[in-house]
Amino acid sequence: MELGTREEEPLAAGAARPPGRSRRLLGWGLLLTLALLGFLLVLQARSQQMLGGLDLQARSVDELGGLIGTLSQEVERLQDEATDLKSQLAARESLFHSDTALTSQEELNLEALELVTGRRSGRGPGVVLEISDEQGKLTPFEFEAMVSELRSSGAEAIVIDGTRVEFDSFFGTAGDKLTLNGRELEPPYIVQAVGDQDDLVSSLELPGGLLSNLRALPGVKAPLYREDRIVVPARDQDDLVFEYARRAEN
Amino acid sequence: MRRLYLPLLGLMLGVAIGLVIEFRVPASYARYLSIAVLAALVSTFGGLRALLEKKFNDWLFITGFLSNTILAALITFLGDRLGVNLYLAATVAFGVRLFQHLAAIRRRVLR
Repeated sequence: MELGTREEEPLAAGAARPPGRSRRLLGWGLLLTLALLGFLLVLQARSQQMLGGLDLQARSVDELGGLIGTLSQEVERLQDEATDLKSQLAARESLFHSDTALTSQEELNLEALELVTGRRSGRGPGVVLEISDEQGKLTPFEFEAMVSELRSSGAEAIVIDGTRVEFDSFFGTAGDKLTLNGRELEPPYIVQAVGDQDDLVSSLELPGGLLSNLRALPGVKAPLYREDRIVVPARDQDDLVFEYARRAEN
Repeated sequence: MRRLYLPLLGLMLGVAIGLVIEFRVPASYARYLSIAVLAALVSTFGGLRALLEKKFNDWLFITGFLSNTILAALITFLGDRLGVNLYLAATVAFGVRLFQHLAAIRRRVLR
């Protein structure tokens, strides 16, 4: 390794001293060289600081082995911690997703409940029956049967003469007039049912079904139409209040 | 001793620049930097010794400084490539040289 300084070579001071300009140039060169030394020293100090003063070159093999063991344990511990935290994160995320899923399910439930209880008005495609009864042959019984028939055919909402048929609706008579929820109905009775049009038509038109029975009555006509937009009004009474029925605790 | 002003100014300038510039050497190159710094130190003390022995030559000092620094890093790098621990060899060689220079300086100063 002859990397040593060649300054030791015999060089008489001022023997080959270049004069004037080149001397000044050499002065600047000297300045720059020493500046480089200073810069390198600072750089080295900083990089040693960065390495945390771990001069691995100076350690013995045993020491290095111990160091590796300690660091391996530390790495293992940190990896365990990372795995733990990742699984926690996954658990939280799935919990979060199921929470939101529950919320959207609840929203659907709420929407359905609002429609069922008539808190909101609704609309949809369906069929319309226009029932005329010239001889007054229709009784509440026929209407109860009709509503049952419509529901079993897939009607999701039923409106008779602009009054929605609800879970607590009832048919009755007032004199010679039919009533729904105590309100008098006027013939021709317009019965609207929201649901799958094909299903409703096919099951209502079945031989021996609702329409054939109705039409068998004297003076009763019941033409059936399809309608693409049936409006189901909201419940026209006050909010539902249950005085006796209570939700059962599970 | 007047000739020491310019090098000392340069040294301070370099330190100042190093402190101002937030430049860091990647850890994988730290070894090469260490040996380069050692080579630079050896050259500097060699220069100081030559100065005291009135044998100093600017041109030789500058070229020696630069070539020692660069070659030291290069040879360490080469050693790493070849699987030979030339880092250690360079450290020993430079260390011996450094102490020789320091001893010569001490003798020159005390005389």
